Amino acid sequence: MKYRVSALLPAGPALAMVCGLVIGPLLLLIRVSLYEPATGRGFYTPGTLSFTNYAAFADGYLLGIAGFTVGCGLAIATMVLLIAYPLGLFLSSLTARMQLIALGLILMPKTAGLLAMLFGLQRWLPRGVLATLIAEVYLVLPYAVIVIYAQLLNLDPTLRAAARGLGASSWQVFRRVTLPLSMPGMILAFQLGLMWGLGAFLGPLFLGRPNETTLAVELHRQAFEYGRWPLAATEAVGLLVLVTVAATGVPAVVQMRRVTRC
Amino acid sequence: MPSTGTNSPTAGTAPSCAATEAVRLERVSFAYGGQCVVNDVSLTIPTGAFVTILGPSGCGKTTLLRLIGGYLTPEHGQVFLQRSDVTAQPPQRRHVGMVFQNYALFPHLTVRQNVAFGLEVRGRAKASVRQQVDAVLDKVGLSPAERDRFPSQLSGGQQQRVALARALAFEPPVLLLDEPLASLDRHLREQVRLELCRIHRQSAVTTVMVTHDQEEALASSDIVGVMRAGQLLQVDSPRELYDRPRSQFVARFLGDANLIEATRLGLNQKGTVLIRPEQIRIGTEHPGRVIAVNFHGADLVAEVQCQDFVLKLRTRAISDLSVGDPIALDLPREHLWEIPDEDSL
Amino acid sequence: MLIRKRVISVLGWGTIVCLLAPVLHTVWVSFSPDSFLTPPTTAWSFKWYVACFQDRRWMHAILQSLTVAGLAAGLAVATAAPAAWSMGNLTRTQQRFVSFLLLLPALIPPAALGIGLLPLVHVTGLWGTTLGMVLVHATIGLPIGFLIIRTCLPEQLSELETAAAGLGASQPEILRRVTLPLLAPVLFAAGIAVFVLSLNESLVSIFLATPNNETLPAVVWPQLRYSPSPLVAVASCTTAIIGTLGILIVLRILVTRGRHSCPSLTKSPPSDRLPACHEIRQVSTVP
Repeated sequence: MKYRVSALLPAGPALAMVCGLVIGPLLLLIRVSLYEPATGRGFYTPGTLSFTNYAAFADGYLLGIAGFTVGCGLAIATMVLLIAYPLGLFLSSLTARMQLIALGLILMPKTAGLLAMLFGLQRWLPRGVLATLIAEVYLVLPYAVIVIYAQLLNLDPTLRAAARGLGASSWQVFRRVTLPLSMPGMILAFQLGLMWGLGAFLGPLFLGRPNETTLAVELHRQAFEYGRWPLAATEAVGLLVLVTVAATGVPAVVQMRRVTRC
Repeated sequence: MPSTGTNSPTAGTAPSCAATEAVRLERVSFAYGGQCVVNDVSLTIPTGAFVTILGPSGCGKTTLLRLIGGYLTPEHGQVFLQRSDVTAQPPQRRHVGMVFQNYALFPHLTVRQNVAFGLEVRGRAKASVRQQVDAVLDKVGLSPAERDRFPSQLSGGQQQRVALARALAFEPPVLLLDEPLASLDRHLREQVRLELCRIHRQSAVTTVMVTHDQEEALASSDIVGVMRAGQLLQVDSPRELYDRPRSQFVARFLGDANLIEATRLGLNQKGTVLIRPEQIRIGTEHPGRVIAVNFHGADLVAEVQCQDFVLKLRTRAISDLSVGDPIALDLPREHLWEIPDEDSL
Repeated sequence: MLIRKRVISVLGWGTIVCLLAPVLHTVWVSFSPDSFLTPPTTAWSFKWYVACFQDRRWMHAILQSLTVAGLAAGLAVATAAPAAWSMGNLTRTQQRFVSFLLLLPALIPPAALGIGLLPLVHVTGLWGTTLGMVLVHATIGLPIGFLIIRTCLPEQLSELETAAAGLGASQPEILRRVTLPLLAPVLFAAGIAVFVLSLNESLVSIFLATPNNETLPAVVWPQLRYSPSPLVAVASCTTAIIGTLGILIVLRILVTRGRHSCPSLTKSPPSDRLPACHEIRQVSTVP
């Protein structure tokens, strides 16, 4: 079979858009993070190249924020998984028609009514860490439910029937068939939850107290309130590093567990 | 590997033998994913013939069909249609009608629109398209009530007729059928097979069919080519193939076969001889004992243990045999066929 | 057994209601007759809706949001569709490469993307323009558009394209008569999904909006943060209503999509699924 690079041609425009508007900005981000802060007007000092901004990570303030971000991310991912998995199970147990309705209802607040949802949450919850976490769970949950639900849909229902036929109770069926087979979906949901949780922005912005900010909120403040683009870019790079670690790290941990268990 | 496929066999019983050729493959090979799917196949198909390519699944017969239709391009070799080399031509230019195994009917078009497709893309006038569509739908026997339905509203047999009509509508000189009966119910199969034969007779279109069902192949074709592992083992009339197979594989693949080493029968020759179960008579020559009996309605198939070989015997069901009965069999000389034993199976 | 089912059902639907509750609360507040943020119980009014639709800044933002969302949806589908369609012709490595890149916009933290885009739009002169906003929204919508189209590509599409080629149709004819009609509902659904997502896209917009090109979320969020009013609730509900309609349409299309396709086409044996479509494309590029 001869495959050619020309086969990639139809994907060209889409790839170009991603390269120009995602990869490009990310590279630019790294460059900006290496500028020295502006001394007078402007957002940075052109023509400079130094690591001074990264020194900010060494002092306790940014490190604290980074730590808070990681804690938030882990908490969000865990909470999301704990709610999304049972919800996914519930969803897949409904009739086809009801599944659709429930899916629509789960998707609605995040995709269609984001602002309305934040408004409502803001009316109810007093600002604080808990409110931040709850808001982020609201934001991440729909996607996690879809991932888990899709995984459960792929699961052959005859397997469960077969397990029952072999004498397993419904708890045993869940424990020995459904749970292990839906593991990949759970891992993916946790991973995505962690990645989005680390980037938490709207939750802490609207519902967090000023001293409880994540890297995302902090970099927004640095850029827009103080005009310190290089520092904001540095914080963004830090955030990207964390997300990359989450993206590559979670499966690695799972693999390690599997290996050590054997 | 013996290259039995390279000789260019044309069957003696073909209607207009070698007068004009509709399709010719010359030493065609095709590999997919590093695996040779069609290996050095040559074949000449005379105009107007009904040819069946027969083989087990995965032997490369569908690939062969797609090579003729231009859906695949061979790695080596050439494809000729009406004596002109079309090897490099895409399917659009070959004007070959094809019925896909799953029919590949356009789900968004009605029956009429499906059948009209090939005519419309050729830029025919609207009026003549409509006339031709109705004519060809009449030919395949699809009732007018069904002609404005969508494929999803039709039964499997009806979908098949539409696919056939669509392939015939633009009057291609060659028609390719990929397992046309495979997805039909058993009782529909025979009926549709007869229809196919009738349509072939009426339109005289050169037809190449691919199947894994030997009964289908023997019943409907002028010429049958048996394929195995990418190679064309033997191309002959059904009668020839059945009575005088040139390899054990062909003998076994077409019908039941008793294959016995010649020496065991006390014959003064080497190799293997073939005798079909229905050619064996109850007699005196080879005494033995019945070890299994299968009732097939009109016939009875019994397995008989004779000295050091087992024979399968097919006889009328009136003779009453049961397991354990002593029996003696005759193998008439005129039915013994010596297989030139070249393939190792 | 029955009791357990009841309990599960109550818990499941209860969770879903909890997810919906904040939105419902906002809708309720938006009908408030006064400027307090207490949900109305006796007197309901459309006063704030009227106020919102009479305010030039809100209307401009709503129109801007709809314009950006519409254009972004079109652009995202126009680029994601050929990419998703071509996936079948690619090697495993190429497939991974393409899907990784096209899903990337959904995996990058929006705040990091926003701060990276900031200097880019400054340099390229896209600062404050609708075009800049459309490009960014389309890129952010790419992953969802790509995913929907890719998972919903009709299974038998390449087979049908092959059949059309055999019937004599040229490549443009195949595209016009087979590919596009078969894909139309999926493309439409993907477009709506990107549209809804774009309407609600607030993260990156917050970084890039200027008074000239600000979309609704960009106007809403400072007010939401510092001075929430029923007016903000109304604006939020407007996008929620449009978005909900969009989701309904998407789900409806994706569910009924399979209705037209032949039942017999779906159960083809995998062994005979030969290299079909990409082969033809290869062949037909030969002049």
